Amino acid sequence: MIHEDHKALLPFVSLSTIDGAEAIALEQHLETCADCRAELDAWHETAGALAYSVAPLEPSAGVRERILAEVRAEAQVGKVNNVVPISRPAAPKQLQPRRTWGFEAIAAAVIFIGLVVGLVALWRQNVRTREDLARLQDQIKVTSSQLDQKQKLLQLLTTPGARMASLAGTKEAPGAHGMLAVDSKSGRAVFMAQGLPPAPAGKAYQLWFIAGKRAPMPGGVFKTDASGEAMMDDQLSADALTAGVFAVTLEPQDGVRAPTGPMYLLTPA
Amino acid sequence: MQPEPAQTTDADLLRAIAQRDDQALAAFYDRYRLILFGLLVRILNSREEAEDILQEVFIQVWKRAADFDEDRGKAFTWLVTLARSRAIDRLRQLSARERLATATAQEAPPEASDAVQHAYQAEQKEIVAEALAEIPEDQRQTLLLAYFDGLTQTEIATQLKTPLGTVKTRMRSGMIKLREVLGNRSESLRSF
Repeated sequence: MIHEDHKALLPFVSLSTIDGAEAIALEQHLETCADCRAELDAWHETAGALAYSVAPLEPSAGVRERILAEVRAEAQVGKVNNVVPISRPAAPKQLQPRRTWGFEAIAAAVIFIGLVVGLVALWRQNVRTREDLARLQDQIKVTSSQLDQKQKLLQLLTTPGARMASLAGTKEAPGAHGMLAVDSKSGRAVFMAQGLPPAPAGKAYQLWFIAGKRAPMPGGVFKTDASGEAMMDDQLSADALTAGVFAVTLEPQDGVRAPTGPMYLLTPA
Repeated sequence: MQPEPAQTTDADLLRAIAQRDDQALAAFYDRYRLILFGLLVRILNSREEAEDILQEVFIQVWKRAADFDEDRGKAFTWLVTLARSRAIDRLRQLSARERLATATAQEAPPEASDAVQHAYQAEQKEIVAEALAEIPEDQRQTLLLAYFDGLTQTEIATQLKTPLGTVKTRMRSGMIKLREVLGNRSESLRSF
Protein backbone atom coordinates (compact mmCIF):
# COMPACT_ATOMS: atom_id res chain seq x y z
CA MET A 1 0.00 0.00 0.00
CA ILE A 2 1.17 3.52 -0.67
CA HIS A 3 0.57 6.76 1.21
CA GLU A 4 -2.89 7.45 -0.28
CA ASP A 5 -4.09 3.96 0.60
CA HIS A 6 -2.97 4.37 4.20
CA LYS A 7 -4.54 7.83 4.37
CA ALA A 8 -7.89 6.41 3.26
CA LEU A 9 -7.91 4.13 6.32
CA LEU A 10 -7.44 6.93 8.86
CA PRO A 11 -11.15 7.66 9.49
CA PHE A 12 -11.54 3.98 10.40
CA VAL A 13 -8.69 4.19 12.90
CA SER A 14 -10.46 7.01 14.73
CA LEU A 15 -13.45 4.66 15.09
CA SER A 16 -11.20 1.68 16.07
CA THR A 17 -12.66 -0.48 13.33
CA ILE A 18 -9.53 -1.84 11.67
CA ASP A 19 -7.31 -4.59 12.97
CA GLY A 20 -4.96 -7.37 11.89
CA ALA A 21 -2.42 -6.88 9.12
CA GLU A 22 -4.05 -3.64 7.95
CA ALA A 23 -3.64 -2.09 11.41
CA ILE A 24 -0.01 -3.25 11.72
CA ALA A 25 0.89 -1.89 8.28
CA LEU A 26 -0.78 1.43 9.07
CA GLU A 27 0.95 1.67 12.45
CA GLN A 28 4.31 1.23 10.70
CA HIS A 29 3.38 3.89 8.15
CA LEU A 30 2.31 6.35 10.86
CA GLU A 31 5.71 6.06 12.52
CA THR A 32 7.30 7.69 9.49
CA CYS A 33 4.52 9.84 8.00
CA ALA A 34 3.90 13.20 9.73
CA ASP A 35 1.19 14.05 7.20
CA CYS A 36 -0.87 10.99 8.13
CA ARG A 37 -0.28 11.58 11.84
CA ALA A 38 -1.69 15.10 11.52
CA GLU A 39 -4.60 13.79 9.45
CA LEU A 40 -5.31 11.12 12.08
CA ASP A 41 -5.36 13.80 14.81
CA ALA A 42 -8.01 15.65 12.77
CA TRP A 43 -10.10 12.48 12.42
CA HIS A 44 -9.86 11.89 16.17
CA GLU A 45 -11.29 15.41 16.67
CA THR A 46 -14.23 14.52 14.45
CA ALA A 47 -14.86 11.15 16.09
CA GLY A 48 -14.39 12.66 19.56
CA ALA A 49 -17.24 15.11 18.92
CA LEU A 50 -19.62 12.12 18.87
CA ALA A 51 -19.14 11.91 22.63
CA TYR A 52 -21.23 15.07 22.92
CA SER A 53 -24.22 13.26 21.44
CA VAL A 54 -24.81 11.28 24.64
CA ALA A 55 -26.68 12.52 27.73
CA PRO A 56 -24.31 13.71 30.47
CA LEU A 57 -24.54 11.61 33.63
CA GLU A 58 -23.34 12.17 37.18
CA PRO A 59 -21.01 9.47 38.53
CA SER A 60 -21.03 8.60 42.24
CA ALA A 61 -19.15 11.05 44.46
CA GLY A 62 -16.94 8.14 45.52
CA VAL A 63 -15.22 8.04 42.13
CA ARG A 64 -13.70 11.49 42.60
CA GLU A 65 -12.60 10.60 46.13
CA ARG A 66 -11.01 7.32 45.00
CA ILE A 67 -9.11 9.02 42.17
CA LEU A 68 -7.74 11.73 44.44
CA ALA A 69 -6.88 9.25 47.20
CA GLU A 70 -4.95 7.10 44.71
CA VAL A 71 -2.94 9.94 43.19
CA ARG A 72 -2.17 11.42 46.62
CA ALA A 73 -0.99 8.02 47.88
CA GLU A 74 1.19 7.64 44.81
CA ALA A 75 2.62 11.13 45.26
CA GLN A 76 3.41 10.27 48.88
CA VAL A 77 5.25 7.08 47.88
CA GLY A 78 7.13 9.12 45.27
CA LYS A 79 8.22 11.58 47.97
CA VAL A 80 9.43 8.78 50.23
CA ASN A 81 11.35 7.28 47.36
CA ASN A 82 13.00 10.61 46.61
CA VAL A 83 14.42 11.00 50.09
CA VAL A 84 18.21 10.71 49.87
CA PRO A 85 19.90 9.62 53.08
CA ILE A 86 22.32 12.29 54.26
CA SER A 87 24.96 12.27 56.95
CA ARG A 88 24.00 14.76 59.55
CA PRO A 89 26.75 16.53 61.45
CA ALA A 90 27.04 15.16 64.92
CA ALA A 91 24.66 17.00 67.20
CA PRO A 92 25.88 18.27 70.53
CA LYS A 93 25.45 15.60 73.19
CA GLN A 94 22.95 17.61 75.19
CA LEU A 95 20.57 17.85 72.22
CA GLN A 96 20.34 14.10 71.71
CA PRO A 97 16.97 13.00 73.01
CA ARG A 98 18.04 9.38 73.18
CA ARG A 99 17.75 8.99 76.92
CA THR A 100 14.21 10.37 76.92
CA TRP A 101 12.89 7.78 74.43
CA GLY A 102 10.94 4.98 75.91
CA PHE A 103 10.99 1.45 74.56
CA GLU A 104 7.58 1.95 72.91
CA ALA A 105 8.78 5.01 71.01
CA ILE A 106 11.85 3.18 69.70
CA ALA A 107 9.76 0.18 68.72
CA ALA A 108 7.25 2.42 66.96
CA ALA A 109 10.05 4.18 65.09
CA VAL A 110 11.58 0.85 64.03
CA ILE A 111 8.20 -0.42 62.84
CA PHE A 112 7.53 2.83 61.01
CA ILE A 113 10.91 2.75 59.26
CA GLY A 114 10.38 -0.90 58.42
CA LEU A 115 6.99 -0.10 56.92
CA VAL A 116 8.37 2.79 54.87
CA VAL A 117 11.27 0.68 53.60
CA GLY A 118 8.89 -2.17 52.78
CA LEU A 119 6.53 0.21 51.01
CA VAL A 120 9.33 1.72 48.94
CA ALA A 121 10.64 -1.76 48.08
CA LEU A 122 7.17 -2.87 47.01
CA TRP A 123 6.67 0.26 44.97
CA ARG A 124 10.01 -0.20 43.22
CA GLN A 125 9.26 -3.84 42.57
CA ASN A 126 5.91 -2.82 41.13
CA VAL A 127 7.56 -0.29 38.80
CA ARG A 128 10.12 -2.91 37.67
CA THR A 129 7.35 -5.47 37.08
CA ARG A 130 5.38 -3.00 35.04
CA GLU A 131 8.44 -2.16 32.95
CA ASP A 132 9.14 -5.85 32.40
CA LEU A 133 5.53 -6.41 31.45
CA ALA A 134 5.60 -3.54 28.96
CA ARG A 135 8.79 -4.95 27.39
CA LEU A 136 7.27 -8.42 27.16
CA GLN A 137 4.11 -7.01 25.62
CA ASP A 138 6.19 -5.23 22.99
CA GLN A 139 8.06 -8.45 22.23
CA ILE A 140 4.81 -10.38 21.99
CA LYS A 141 3.44 -7.76 19.61
CA VAL A 142 6.48 -8.02 17.34
CA THR A 143 6.54 -11.84 17.46
CA SER A 144 2.84 -12.04 16.87
CA SER A 145 3.12 -9.71 13.89
CA GLN A 146 5.96 -11.82 12.41
CA LEU A 147 4.00 -15.02 13.01
CA ASP A 148 0.94 -13.50 11.45
CA GLN A 149 2.94 -12.52 8.34
CA LYS A 150 4.51 -15.97 8.06
CA GLN A 151 1.14 -17.67 8.41
CA LYS A 152 -0.21 -15.47 5.66
CA LEU A 153 2.70 -16.38 3.41
CA LEU A 154 2.23 -20.08 4.11
CA GLN A 155 -1.48 -19.80 3.50
CA LEU A 156 -0.87 -18.01 0.22
CA LEU A 157 1.79 -20.47 -0.92
CA THR A 158 -0.58 -23.38 -0.35
CA THR A 159 -3.49 -21.73 -2.18
CA PRO A 160 -4.26 -23.57 -5.42
CA GLY A 161 -3.23 -21.42 -8.40
CA ALA A 162 -0.79 -19.29 -6.38
CA ARG A 163 2.03 -17.85 -8.47
CA MET A 164 5.57 -17.24 -7.27
CA ALA A 165 8.35 -15.06 -8.65
CA SER A 166 11.95 -14.58 -7.54
CA LEU A 167 13.74 -11.26 -7.61
CA ALA A 168 17.53 -10.97 -7.70
CA GLY A 169 19.72 -8.18 -6.34
CA THR A 170 21.00 -5.59 -8.82
CA LYS A 171 24.40 -3.86 -8.66
CA GLU A 172 22.99 -1.70 -5.86
CA ALA A 173 22.66 -4.80 -3.61
CA PRO A 174 24.20 -7.85 -5.32
CA GLY A 175 23.61 -10.11 -2.30
CA ALA A 176 19.93 -9.25 -1.94
CA HIS A 177 17.04 -11.36 -3.14
CA GLY A 178 13.26 -11.34 -2.92
CA MET A 179 10.23 -13.53 -3.45
CA LEU A 180 6.70 -12.58 -4.40
CA ALA A 181 3.73 -14.91 -3.95
CA VAL A 182 0.46 -13.92 -5.61
CA ASP A 183 -3.00 -15.44 -5.44
CA SER A 184 -4.29 -14.63 -8.94
CA LYS A 185 -7.87 -15.22 -7.87
CA SER A 186 -8.08 -12.82 -4.93
CA GLY A 187 -5.20 -10.51 -5.85
CA ARG A 188 -3.56 -11.03 -2.46
CA ALA A 189 0.21 -10.91 -2.52
CA VAL A 190 2.98 -11.40 0.01
CA PHE A 191 6.47 -10.11 -0.68
CA MET A 192 9.65 -11.07 1.17
CA ALA A 193 13.11 -9.60 0.78
CA GLN A 194 16.50 -10.31 2.34
CA GLY A 195 19.90 -8.64 2.19
CA LEU A 196 18.73 -5.11 1.43
CA PRO A 197 20.65 -2.26 3.06
CA PRO A 198 18.66 -0.10 5.54
CA ALA A 199 16.73 2.64 3.73
CA PRO A 200 18.09 6.13 4.50
CA ALA A 201 15.93 8.56 6.53
CA GLY A 202 12.90 9.70 4.56
CA LYS A 203 13.26 6.83 2.07
CA ALA A 204 11.70 3.39 1.73
CA TYR A 205 11.66 0.55 -0.76
CA GLN A 206 8.76 0.27 -3.20
CA LEU A 207 7.59 -2.74 -5.19
CA TRP A 208 6.68 -2.34 -8.89
CA PHE A 209 4.65 -4.48 -11.31
CA ILE A 210 5.62 -4.39 -14.98
CA ALA A 211 3.35 -5.78 -17.69
CA GLY A 212 4.74 -5.72 -21.24
CA LYS A 213 5.63 -2.25 -22.41
CA ARG A 214 3.23 -0.46 -20.09
CA ALA A 215 4.47 1.92 -17.42
CA PRO A 216 5.42 0.19 -14.14
CA MET A 217 2.48 -0.01 -11.72
CA PRO A 218 3.19 1.01 -8.08
CA GLY A 219 3.00 -1.53 -5.29
CA GLY A 220 3.49 -1.26 -1.54
CA VAL A 221 6.21 0.58 0.31
CA PHE A 222 8.31 -1.16 2.95
CA LYS A 223 11.38 -0.85 5.15
CA THR A 224 13.75 -3.58 6.25
CA ASP A 225 14.46 -4.59 9.81
CA ALA A 226 17.94 -4.45 11.36
CA SER A 227 18.92 -7.72 9.64
CA GLY A 228 17.96 -6.43 6.18
CA GLU A 229 14.77 -8.50 6.00
CA ALA A 230 11.31 -7.31 5.09
CA MET A 231 7.91 -8.84 4.58
CA MET A 232 4.80 -7.08 3.34
CA ASP A 233 1.20 -7.80 2.34
CA ASP A 234 -0.25 -6.15 -0.70
CA GLN A 235 -3.52 -6.22 -2.58
CA LEU A 236 -2.96 -6.18 -6.33
CA SER A 237 -5.20 -4.50 -8.86
CA ALA A 238 -6.43 -6.47 -11.86
CA ASP A 239 -3.82 -4.68 -14.00
CA ALA A 240 -0.98 -5.54 -11.63
CA LEU A 241 -2.02 -9.21 -11.75
CA THR A 242 -1.05 -9.27 -15.46
CA ALA A 243 2.55 -8.28 -14.63
CA GLY A 244 5.32 -10.75 -15.43
CA VAL A 245 8.22 -8.64 -14.19
CA PHE A 246 8.68 -7.23 -10.70
CA ALA A 247 11.16 -4.75 -9.33
CA VAL A 248 12.03 -2.90 -6.13
CA THR A 249 13.39 0.65 -6.08
CA LEU A 250 14.38 3.10 -3.36
CA GLU A 251 11.85 5.96 -3.19
CA PRO A 252 10.53 8.71 -0.88
CA GLN A 253 8.98 6.98 2.15
CA ASP A 254 5.37 7.76 1.18
CA GLY A 255 5.78 6.02 -2.17
CA VAL A 256 5.47 7.44 -5.66
CA ARG A 257 3.27 6.79 -8.70
CA ALA A 258 6.24 6.21 -11.07
CA PRO A 259 9.74 4.96 -10.17
CA THR A 260 12.36 7.65 -9.58
CA GLY A 261 15.11 5.97 -7.54
CA PRO A 262 17.75 3.28 -8.05
CA MET A 263 16.64 -0.33 -8.57
CA TYR A 264 17.65 -2.88 -5.94
CA LEU A 265 15.73 -6.02 -6.96
CA LEU A 266 14.48 -7.24 -10.33
CA THR A 267 12.98 -10.41 -11.78
CA PRO A 268 15.84 -12.16 -13.65
CA ALA A 269 15.46 -12.14 -17.45
CA MET B 1 -19.79 22.33 42.72
CA GLN B 2 -18.33 25.60 41.44
CA PRO B 3 -16.69 25.64 38.01
CA GLU B 4 -13.12 26.84 38.08
CA PRO B 5 -12.38 30.26 36.56
CA ALA B 6 -13.03 30.35 32.83
CA GLN B 7 -9.48 31.46 32.00
CA THR B 8 -8.04 28.15 33.20
CA THR B 9 -7.73 26.28 29.93
CA ASP B 10 -7.58 22.52 29.62
CA ALA B 11 -3.96 22.82 28.54
CA ASP B 12 -3.19 24.87 31.70
CA LEU B 13 -4.79 22.20 33.84
CA LEU B 14 -2.88 19.40 32.11
CA ARG B 15 0.40 21.26 32.56
CA ALA B 16 -0.37 21.62 36.27
CA ILE B 17 -1.33 17.93 36.50
CA ALA B 18 1.99 17.01 34.87
CA GLN B 19 3.60 18.96 37.73
CA ARG B 20 1.72 16.72 40.20
CA ASP B 21 -0.98 19.24 41.15
CA ASP B 22 -3.86 17.10 42.41
CA GLN B 23 -6.17 20.13 42.64
CA ALA B 24 -5.74 20.59 38.89
CA LEU B 25 -6.69 16.95 38.40
CA ALA B 26 -9.78 17.50 40.55
CA ALA B 27 -10.71 20.55 38.43
CA PHE B 28 -10.16 18.61 35.20
CA TYR B 29 -12.34 15.79 36.56
CA ASP B 30 -15.09 18.22 37.56
CA ARG B 31 -15.01 19.76 34.12
CA TYR B 32 -15.44 16.54 32.14
CA ARG B 33 -16.92 13.95 34.50
CA LEU B 34 -20.49 14.36 33.21
CA ILE B 35 -19.83 14.01 29.51
CA LEU B 36 -17.24 11.29 30.03
CA PHE B 37 -19.40 9.27 32.37
CA GLY B 38 -22.37 9.62 29.99
CA LEU B 39 -20.17 8.30 27.18
CA LEU B 40 -18.84 5.39 29.25
CA VAL B 41 -22.32 4.34 30.39
CA ARG B 42 -23.52 4.55 26.78
CA ILE B 43 -20.70 2.24 25.66
CA LEU B 44 -20.63 -0.18 28.59
CA ASN B 45 -24.31 -0.09 29.52
CA SER B 46 -23.32 -0.38 33.17
CA ARG B 47 -22.75 2.34 35.75
CA GLU B 48 -20.44 0.08 37.74
CA GLU B 49 -18.19 -0.71 34.80
CA ALA B 50 -18.32 2.92 33.67
CA GLU B 51 -17.22 4.20 37.10
CA ASP B 52 -14.39 1.72 37.10
CA ILE B 53 -13.16 2.93 33.71
CA LEU B 54 -13.73 6.58 34.66
CA GLN B 55 -11.38 6.09 37.61
CA GLU B 56 -8.78 4.34 35.43
CA VAL B 57 -8.95 7.13 32.85
CA PHE B 58 -8.23 9.90 35.36
CA ILE B 59 -5.40 7.88 36.89
CA GLN B 60 -4.02 7.65 33.34
CA VAL B 61 -4.45 11.42 32.96
CA TRP B 62 -2.43 11.86 36.17
CA LYS B 63 0.33 9.63 34.82
CA ARG B 64 0.34 10.77 31.20
CA ALA B 65 -0.57 14.48 31.35
CA ALA B 66 2.96 15.34 30.21
CA ASP B 67 2.31 13.39 26.96
CA PHE B 68 -0.48 15.74 25.93
CA ASP B 69 0.61 17.90 22.99
CA GLU B 70 -1.51 21.00 22.55
CA ASP B 71 -0.39 21.36 18.94
CA ARG B 72 -1.88 18.00 18.02
CA GLY B 73 -5.44 18.69 19.14
CA LYS B 74 -7.84 19.53 21.93
CA ALA B 75 -7.44 18.11 25.42
CA PHE B 76 -11.08 17.03 25.25
CA THR B 77 -10.30 14.87 22.21
CA TRP B 78 -7.26 13.38 23.96
CA LEU B 79 -9.37 12.58 27.00
CA VAL B 80 -12.30 11.15 25.06
CA THR B 81 -10.00 9.02 22.88
CA LEU B 82 -8.34 7.66 26.02
CA ALA B 83 -11.69 6.93 27.70
CA ARG B 84 -13.36 5.39 24.67
CA SER B 85 -10.37 3.21 23.90
CA ARG B 86 -10.40 1.78 27.44
CA ALA B 87 -14.16 1.33 27.37
CA ILE B 88 -14.07 -0.52 24.04
CA ASP B 89 -11.29 -2.78 25.35
CA ARG B 90 -13.41 -3.55 28.43
CA LEU B 91 -16.51 -4.06 26.27
CA ARG B 92 -14.68 -6.58 24.10
CA GLN B 93 -13.53 -8.44 27.22
CA LEU B 94 -17.04 -8.77 28.57
CA SER B 95 -19.06 -11.67 27.27
CA ALA B 96 -22.50 -11.05 25.82
CA ARG B 97 -23.98 -12.74 28.91
CA GLU B 98 -22.18 -10.41 31.30
CA ARG B 99 -23.26 -7.43 29.28
CA LEU B 100 -26.86 -8.54 29.41
CA ALA B 101 -26.65 -9.11 33.16
CA THR B 102 -25.13 -5.71 33.83
CA ALA B 103 -27.64 -4.05 31.54
CA THR B 104 -30.60 -5.52 33.39
CA ALA B 105 -29.06 -4.63 36.75
CA GLN B 106 -28.54 -1.04 35.70
CA GLU B 107 -29.95 1.58 38.04
CA ALA B 108 -31.76 4.69 36.91
CA PRO B 109 -29.01 7.28 36.37
CA PRO B 110 -29.10 10.42 38.51
CA GLU B 111 -29.22 13.58 36.49
CA ALA B 112 -26.17 15.76 36.06
CA SER B 113 -26.14 18.30 38.85
CA ASP B 114 -23.78 21.01 37.71
CA ALA B 115 -25.91 23.61 35.96
CA VAL B 116 -23.07 25.44 34.19
CA GLN B 117 -21.40 22.31 32.89
CA HIS B 118 -24.74 20.86 31.95
CA ALA B 119 -25.80 23.94 29.99
CA TYR B 120 -22.48 24.08 28.15
CA GLN B 121 -22.52 20.39 27.29
CA ALA B 122 -26.20 20.54 26.31
CA GLU B 123 -25.22 23.18 23.74
CA GLN B 124 -22.48 20.91 22.35
CA LYS B 125 -24.89 17.99 22.30
CA GLU B 126 -27.32 19.99 20.22
CA ILE B 127 -24.61 20.95 17.73
CA VAL B 128 -23.48 17.35 17.29
CA ALA B 129 -27.07 16.09 17.12
CA GLU B 130 -27.78 18.60 14.34
CA ALA B 131 -24.63 17.53 12.51
CA LEU B 132 -25.61 13.85 12.80
CA ALA B 133 -29.07 14.68 11.50
CA GLU B 134 -27.49 15.95 8.28
CA ILE B 135 -25.82 12.59 7.65
CA PRO B 136 -27.81 9.97 5.70
CA GLU B 137 -29.36 7.35 7.99
CA ASP B 138 -27.36 4.37 6.66
CA GLN B 139 -24.07 6.24 7.14
CA ARG B 140 -25.04 7.49 10.61
CA GLN B 141 -25.97 3.97 11.65
CA THR B 142 -22.51 2.57 10.79
CA LEU B 143 -20.79 5.44 12.63
CA LEU B 144 -22.83 4.94 15.80
CA LEU B 145 -22.42 1.15 15.79
CA ALA B 146 -18.65 1.59 15.48
CA TYR B 147 -18.26 4.44 17.96
CA PHE B 148 -20.62 3.42 20.76
CA ASP B 149 -20.94 -0.35 20.33
CA GLY B 150 -17.30 -0.96 19.47
CA LEU B 151 -18.18 -3.17 16.50
CA THR B 152 -15.60 -3.86 13.80
CA GLN B 153 -16.50 -3.33 10.14
CA THR B 154 -17.00 -7.07 9.70
CA GLU B 155 -19.31 -7.23 12.73
CA ILE B 156 -21.32 -4.28 11.43
CA ALA B 157 -21.60 -5.93 8.01
CA THR B 158 -22.91 -9.10 9.69
CA GLN B 159 -25.32 -7.23 11.93
CA LEU B 160 -26.73 -5.13 9.10
CA LYS B 161 -26.57 -8.01 6.60
CA THR B 162 -24.71 -5.66 4.27
CA PRO B 163 -21.57 -6.31 2.17
CA LEU B 164 -18.32 -5.32 3.92
CA GLY B 165 -17.38 -2.97 1.07
CA THR B 166 -20.68 -1.11 1.46
CA VAL B 167 -20.08 -0.74 5.22
CA LYS B 168 -16.62 0.73 4.57
CA THR B 169 -18.00 3.17 2.01
CA ARG B 170 -20.82 4.29 4.30
CA MET B 171 -18.46 4.69 7.22
CA ARG B 172 -15.94 6.74 5.25
CA SER B 173 -18.66 8.91 3.67
CA GLY B 174 -20.30 9.41 7.07
CA MET B 175 -17.05 10.53 8.68
CA ILE B 176 -16.26 12.90 5.80
CA LYS B 177 -19.74 14.41 6.03
CA LEU B 178 -19.52 14.71 9.84
CA ARG B 179 -16.16 16.46 9.59
CA GLU B 180 -17.53 18.82 6.97
CA VAL B 181 -20.65 19.72 8.96
CA LEU B 182 -18.79 20.08 12.26
CA GLY B 183 -16.14 22.14 10.48
CA ASN B 184 -18.82 24.65 9.57
CA ARG B 185 -19.76 24.87 13.24
CA SER B 186 -16.22 24.89 14.61
CA GLU B 187 -16.76 28.23 16.33
CA SER B 188 -19.63 26.81 18.33
CA LEU B 189 -17.99 23.47 19.03
CA ARG B 190 -15.26 24.95 21.14
CA SER B 191 -13.41 23.59 24.10
CA PHE B 192 -12.09 25.25 27.22
